[in-house]
Amino acid sequence: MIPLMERKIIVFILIVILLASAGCVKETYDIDKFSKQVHLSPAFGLPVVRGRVTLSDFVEPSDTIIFDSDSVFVYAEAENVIRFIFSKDSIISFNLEDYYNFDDMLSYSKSFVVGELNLGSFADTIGFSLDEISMKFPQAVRDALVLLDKKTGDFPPFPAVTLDEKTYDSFTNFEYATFSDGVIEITVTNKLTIPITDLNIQLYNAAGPTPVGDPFTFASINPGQSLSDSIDLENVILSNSITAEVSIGAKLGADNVFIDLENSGIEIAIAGRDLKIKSGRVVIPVQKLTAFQQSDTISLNPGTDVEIEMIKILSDSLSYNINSLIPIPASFSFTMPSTLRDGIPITETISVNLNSTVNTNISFNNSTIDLGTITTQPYNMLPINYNVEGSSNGEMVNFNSTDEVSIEMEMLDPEIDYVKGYFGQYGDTIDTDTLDLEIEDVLQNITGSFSLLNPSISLNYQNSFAIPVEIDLDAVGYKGNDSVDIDLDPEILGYPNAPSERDVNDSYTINSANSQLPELISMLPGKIRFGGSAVMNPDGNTGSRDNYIFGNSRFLGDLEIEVPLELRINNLHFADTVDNFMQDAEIDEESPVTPEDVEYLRIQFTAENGFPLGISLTMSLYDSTSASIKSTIDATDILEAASVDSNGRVTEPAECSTELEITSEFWDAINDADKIIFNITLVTTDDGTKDVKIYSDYYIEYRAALQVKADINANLDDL
Amino acid sequence: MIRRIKYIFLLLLVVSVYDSHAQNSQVMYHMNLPQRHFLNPALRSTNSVYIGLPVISGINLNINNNFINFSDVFMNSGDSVISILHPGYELGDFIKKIKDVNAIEPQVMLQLFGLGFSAGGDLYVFLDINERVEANIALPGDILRLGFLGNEQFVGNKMDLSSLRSDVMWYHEAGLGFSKNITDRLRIGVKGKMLMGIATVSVDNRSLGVTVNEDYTHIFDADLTVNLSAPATAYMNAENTIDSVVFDDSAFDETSGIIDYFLKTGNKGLGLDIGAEYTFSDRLRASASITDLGFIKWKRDITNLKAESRFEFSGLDMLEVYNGTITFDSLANEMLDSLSNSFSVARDNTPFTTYLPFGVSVGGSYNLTKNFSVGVLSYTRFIGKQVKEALTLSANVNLGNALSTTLAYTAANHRYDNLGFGLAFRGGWFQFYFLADRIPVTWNTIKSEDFETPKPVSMIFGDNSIPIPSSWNTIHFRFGMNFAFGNNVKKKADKPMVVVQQELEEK
Repeated sequence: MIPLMERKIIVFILIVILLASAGCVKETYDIDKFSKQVHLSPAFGLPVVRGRVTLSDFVEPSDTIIFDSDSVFVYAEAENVIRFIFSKDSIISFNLEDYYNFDDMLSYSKSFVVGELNLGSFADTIGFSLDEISMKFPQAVRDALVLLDKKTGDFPPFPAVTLDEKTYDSFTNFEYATFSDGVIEITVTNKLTIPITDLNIQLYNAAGPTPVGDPFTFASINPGQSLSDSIDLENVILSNSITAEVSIGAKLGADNVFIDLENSGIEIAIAGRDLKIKSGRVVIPVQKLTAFQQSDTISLNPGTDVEIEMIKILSDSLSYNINSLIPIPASFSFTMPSTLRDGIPITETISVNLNSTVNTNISFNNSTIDLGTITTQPYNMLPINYNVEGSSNGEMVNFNSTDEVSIEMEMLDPEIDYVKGYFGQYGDTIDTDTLDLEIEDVLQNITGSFSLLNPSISLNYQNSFAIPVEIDLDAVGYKGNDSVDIDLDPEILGYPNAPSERDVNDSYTINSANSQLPELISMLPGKIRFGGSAVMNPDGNTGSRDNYIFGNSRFLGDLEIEVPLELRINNLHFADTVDNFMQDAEIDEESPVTPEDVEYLRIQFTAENGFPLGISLTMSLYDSTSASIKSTIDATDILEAASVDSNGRVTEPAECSTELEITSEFWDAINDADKIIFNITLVTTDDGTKDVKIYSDYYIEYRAALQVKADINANLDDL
Repeated sequence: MIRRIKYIFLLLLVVSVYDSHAQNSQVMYHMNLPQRHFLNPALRSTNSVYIGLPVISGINLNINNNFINFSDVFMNSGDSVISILHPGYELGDFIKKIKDVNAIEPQVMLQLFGLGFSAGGDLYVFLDINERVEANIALPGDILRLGFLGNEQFVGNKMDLSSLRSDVMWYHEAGLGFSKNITDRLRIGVKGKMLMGIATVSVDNRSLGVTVNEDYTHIFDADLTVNLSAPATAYMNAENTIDSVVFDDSAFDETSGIIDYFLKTGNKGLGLDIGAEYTFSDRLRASASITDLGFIKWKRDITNLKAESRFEFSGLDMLEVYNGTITFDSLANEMLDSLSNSFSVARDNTPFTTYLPFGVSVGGSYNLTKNFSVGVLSYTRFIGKQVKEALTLSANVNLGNALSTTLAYTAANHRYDNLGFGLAFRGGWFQFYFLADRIPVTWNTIKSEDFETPKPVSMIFGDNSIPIPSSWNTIHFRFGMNFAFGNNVKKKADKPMVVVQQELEEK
């Protein structure tokens, strides 16, 4: 039996339980009316990208970026300031052969007439004894003399009598000859003991006979006395057999003289001397052919206005041709007194047989040709001396002074060491042209100022033409109605200090020191009109003839445009309107997330900017129909320029923080806008009032975080 | 029929979702049930012998949750039922309810066998074989806040996930104990237990967190170890991350294998319950106990996955992208790979030890009458570094061992509306009992035309309605049937020399 108290308590407990069970239904949830709409709006922030960017990350020193097959952008580090270098090798290249051709510069052809030659002298003596003479005396006188023969007595005078002709011995050195010069000298010796008072001698060529000159007349020849006379042989034809016709008389007689009919008489000697012949059949003794005894000059024709003073030849030969039409072998000697081979004037002796042709060469290896020894024309003149010696070698030859010898000389393809002279005032013109950079459209969208401080254009060249060349370049940049002239003075390119210096490496630079190049480039021209000229020897012919061209002369020029990043920019503003590319973006319909599910999207951009360059950016959605801006993302001062010192080097990076918010209004506006306007503004430190330099160690350290607040509204049935 | 099944399923689902704070059946403490020695080995029931048969003698289900109720997730709004995700709901109100550590603690105990008997005098010996599954899962509140609100709220702070925990243990428990009066007033009890682990997953979280800096860089750091004793193999890839975990069911292909698996575990442990009861007077008693002191050394099918990571994500480094050496997509993939690869996982097969969450009970009772008492019980449970306290006030009626009932009020888990009830009654040698540490005082009903509720339920809660407790903090019930012998209490033969007036009134 349960005690009463406990029974009450049990009942109480049970009632409590029932009440607890049955009562207090706090809420009733009708699941049939469950709303399946869900909404979530979490906000997430995530780091997206980070980095530390230096220019060294993009390129290494001396790295190469190829833009096209010909152009090369080379990044070079000089004192750490970034420089962009556009270089094109061999933009100018020409060799000696492109401008000068020394082939065939020496060509010589001449014919010589032999002219008159010397003939060897001849001489002979004939004598008439008293016996022979007295035969022509009157008989009485004859008889008297016979009686007195070998006795001393009175020699009776006798009248002029003509003696029998006597012929000299034939001369051996000619058969016949026409003399152009020379004399026959006749010497009469009276070996009688009686003075001869009347002596006439007429010489005759035995063939003909033809008289030789006028008769010789001697008025008085004392016994033992010799008298001479001569006749000029100019234009006289002689044969080698001469006859003398003599008439002799003695008007006075002589007393008490020894009379020897046999051993006394007269001697008549003839001698030809200083003989020159025009023609004939002669024996030509060894002699220099005077027609060739001359100094000549070979005239070079190196080109208009080119005056060559000296040529140094490394290797070549002078080709010559001697065509001899003379009847005697000759020895031709050439001497070029101003052409030294191994320091010695070139001399060459060539033997040419009679009536023959010789072709041969004279070596000009290691020769120096001085073409300036002629006072009246100290250039382009090569003196040459000829010396021809010939003889018939004792043979009788038919000779004519009009016989010719022709000489031809030619120097082919010389390998030249150098040529000194004056090479004219050749020039070339760079035709004026206009380079359209085709950036008008871009320039229209750019405002503000931009200055590149120290750009330069350099022509780095190797020049082995020792000729001053003056170049004059002209360029004008145009931008709209504005223009900037490069204002560059003419400049003479460097050339070697020849002959000791044969090559020179030099550079011709256009920069701020000598032109308005920085201003021109900084103007950002849309067009550049350029032209120019180059002239050799701009001062003309000063007579110094100190241009040198070497055999391997060449001019090789590399173009280098160097733009060090030293600049200042003041609100360089670039605006451009493009089609709204976001409007066409296809939205993945199956994607659970659409732009409408984003309440906002923020990009938190923080940067430590070590560049002295600030950037501001805005992007606006634009509706061209209503001409209104629908929404704008403003990233003003997304990067602030770092501070710089007086040298333009950054002293302290700038801390920048920007938040770009892309709101739901922006997303909504995407479909309302057909255009997007980008505005980018660049400015260097202190609003572009300072020069800044971009060094290779500059960096931007940045972080970007994405903050997204979703606004997801969905229906559970759709998920 | 189907609807009834749905109803039952839904009820179980609701029940299973609702985790009440881990309690050890405070209601039973002052009841005259043999199983009370589970709470304090010094306590015994009045029957001489009891036998507990497999399963039917005791099913204990305990599910605790400290942060969420049905009404926290769903609410009425006008004519509709909305969820916390509904646009019309202020999500912040739900966020406020999220605690720093949100714990879910399901516990299941099946009594496979029980035996208790008086062994002369006041010595009581008892033997129990129980199958126990205990889990303790803690979710850091920051994870939930992260999912709902994003990581913006953590900027400049650290998402502390070090409280993330997951300990699941399945083990056999065979205990042998006794209780005896040491003095006239003092009774002590001791139960030694042999523990045989079946399987476990234990997460030793030494450090886990995500720091979100002002610039949104994230620093992930992790230092935790997952100790696993189960027929599963974790396969690693070349990057020392887990490629796959494969359950090896080959041991269960045959019955013998199944038996061997469950009986020859190789994972041995020891446990100890100690307790004491002091009788100040006939009316006043105090008791204290420490239960579930123990450990299990896991040696079978061991897998240790030690993960260490410190990864700083500060965005993609664009240098290689604008160097052209890599594309943006490749870089992103590389980053993800780095993140996953940063979690280097070392696989090992080192035996490990888990410790049981032990409890300390301190209670007292005052007999207002012979059969009616009031009691108080403090139960403190130590789960790792967590300490959870529950205080129970009870009114207990024990009519010998024929009827025992208790009405209890428990303050626990920051909830002060836990009303518990226990009822045990004996029919012959059969003793039936049912306990619930929390009787839902208030209810919500879920109504749908698809529901077909049984008559008794519909009479109380309406047609097509399923009742659910409005508060989900604690779900606990224990029920079973014992064979109880020796139920008659010996009457005293001698008459007292002094009769207290109160005793006369009672009579």
